This record gives sequence, structure tokens and C-alpha cells, in this order.
Amino acid sequence: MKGMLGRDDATATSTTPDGSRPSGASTRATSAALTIGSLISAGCFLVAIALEVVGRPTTAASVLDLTAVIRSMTVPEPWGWATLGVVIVIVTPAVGLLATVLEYRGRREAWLALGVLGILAVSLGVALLR
Amino acid sequence: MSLVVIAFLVSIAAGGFGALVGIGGGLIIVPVLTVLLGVPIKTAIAASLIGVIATSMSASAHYLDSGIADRRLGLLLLLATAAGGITGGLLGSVIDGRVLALLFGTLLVFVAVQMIRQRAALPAPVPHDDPEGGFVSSYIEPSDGSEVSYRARRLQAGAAVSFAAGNVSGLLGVGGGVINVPTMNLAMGVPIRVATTTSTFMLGPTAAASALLYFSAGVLDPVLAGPVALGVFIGARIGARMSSRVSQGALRVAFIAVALIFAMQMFFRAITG
Repeated sequence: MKGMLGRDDATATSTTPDGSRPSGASTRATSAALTIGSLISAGCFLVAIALEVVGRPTTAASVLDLTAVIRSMTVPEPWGWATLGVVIVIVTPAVGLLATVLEYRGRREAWLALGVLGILAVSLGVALLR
Repeated sequence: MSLVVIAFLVSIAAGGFGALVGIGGGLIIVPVLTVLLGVPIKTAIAASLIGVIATSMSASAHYLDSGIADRRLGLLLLLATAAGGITGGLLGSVIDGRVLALLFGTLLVFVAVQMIRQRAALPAPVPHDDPEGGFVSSYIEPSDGSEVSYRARRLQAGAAVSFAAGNVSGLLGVGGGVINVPTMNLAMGVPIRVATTTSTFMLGPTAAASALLYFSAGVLDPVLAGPVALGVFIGARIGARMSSRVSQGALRVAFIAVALIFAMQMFFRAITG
């Protein structure tokens, strides 16, 4: 009997050389995207914390105001760097899903990942319209 | 000691434990920020969501590369969980938090009791020719190198519960793992280690769907969310490295304890407001 994804997986018996599961798709691009996003956002937060600890003032503005964020980063102020880090944190899962689409291309799982990306796009649309 | 430093230190501990059991750490961060540090609850929830995403990002890379997290199952359930994250984030502005806290606390006690009763019976391997729905998969158990086969069953029911988990994530600022993990383990037949790692993989996109809404509503304070996310990131790295050295039984016990603690926190919030 075929499962929900329309395939039988009766012989899942070994891992592939890069450590991925028997279903075969590599995970390198996805894990790289997640790791890079983690490191960049962590760097932004470190800068923000350091600026906060040394007592740099912060003048918060709308997070949707790109010029305000850039201006705050160049002053420098904690808010601008923290905002950039937050944006990267929110965006990184989507980038990871894009990498997953590429890793699974041609397979049903790629459509699953695209579906999740579509849901995130709906969330972004709702957020922008509020 | 400043609020930023305190939030940072607490988040390290929360992130480590969250990565270990796949629950994101929000159940610790939100109460501490609101009760002990006086942060408005929606601001605390928004900061916690950023921490949840950071946990997922940090730990998922390791879990995916190790082959333990079931990405296929995670993507399937993510369709429901992420959608729930949107509705949870939207509903957060209208639903009385005390009522939701009471309902969630009750659910957690139920889940913890069910897992306690299942403690002695770990999921048995499923024969490859078992003619049931869902799909068969396997992973290499890191503690002893054995290959463990399993069949993820009841996908539709799992998706329905995942939708509810996404709603809870958006409403309370937790990862949803407290619902996803027992659902995958008890209802779907997925081994606990796969359930926790797959749940961790699912946390990121789910919380991102909610965080966008809090971000646009102006209740997300980046200066607070930053140290929370960084602390969780550091703690999650530590937790991810330790996960392969912890037995499945120990993970189950830890999850039961955390679920009961979280339940008590929810009852307290429901009573006191």
C-alpha cells in the first residue's frame, strides 16, 4: 500500500555518504543555510549586546523603515544591529526551505517545502497589510 | 546586572534544554521575562519566538546532517504547523490568555501522564512489509550504532494536531514541541529521538510565521529579542552536541518533567492573570 506521499519505502537500510537519510536527499545546502544564518545573526546580536553594555543610546524606530535601521547601525546603536539580527533570524528558515527545494528537486518533498514557503509568504502578506 | 545580561544568561540555559528535548525553551523564557523581569507578556512572547527560531536554526543543521531528523515527515507536518502559527499569531490579540493557559496546562498534564504510562514500552520496529498507511523510514541510533526502522502512521491526525501546535506556538511564544513530540512518538509511532529532532527542525518555520505578525504589530523589541536569541543559540549548540550522548529513556523522562513544570506555570497564569 502506498503511503501519503505516494511512494513505498520498504528498503530504508543505510545512510548515504554525507550522513543523510535513506530517502537520499543531501542536507548540506539546508544545513549550510541554517548555519550561516545563525552565525550572521549571532554576530549582529553580539554587536548589539556590546553596544548596550557600553551604554550606547538607542533610538528605536519602525522596523519597516530600512533607512532608520541602516542609520542606527552606522551611528552605531544597539537597536539597528539587533533589528538586522532579528530580520536575519526570521528570514533564515525560509532560505533553508529554498535550499531544501533544491535538494529535493524533482521529488514530491520539494513541493512540500514549496508549500511551507507559500505559507510563510501568506504570513508576510498578512503582516504587511496589518 | 542589566535586563539584557539577565535575559542573555537565562536564555543560554533555556536554549540548551530546548535543543535537547525539542521544545524550544520558550516555556522557560516567557515566564521569566514576564514574572521576574516585568516585561509585557506580548513582548516576552515575541522575544521568545525569535529564540525559538534561533534554537531550531542552530540545532537543525546538526540533526539534519546526522540523519536523525526526519525531514520528509517534518515538511509534511510543517504545512499544518506553519499555518497554525499564522492563526495563532493573529488570535493572540483577541483570545483571553487566561483561558488558553488553563486549557494548555490541562493538555500538558494529560500528555505527561500518557508518556509516563508509556515509559516502559518504547516503540517497536515495524516490519517493512507492514501494510499500513504512512511511510517507512529508518535512522542509525547514535548510542549503539543500530539501525532503527519505524513507520510514521496516522499522518492526517498528526497534521491536525500539528495545526493546533502551531496555534499554541503563535499564542504562547513556545515552539510547539510540547505537542509535536508526544504526537509523533505516541500517536504516529515515531521513535522519541526522531520525534525530538524532527520537532526541532519544524520549530523554525513555525515560529517565523508567527514572529512576522508580532514584528509588524510593533510588539517585538529587537534589543530584548537579540540577547534572548543569542543566548538560546549558544545553549542550543551545547544541547545539540549532547543529544547523541543521552539515552532515549533519559530524553523521555526529561520531557515528562518539563511538560509538568510547564503545566503548573500555565495554571498559575490562568489563576493570576
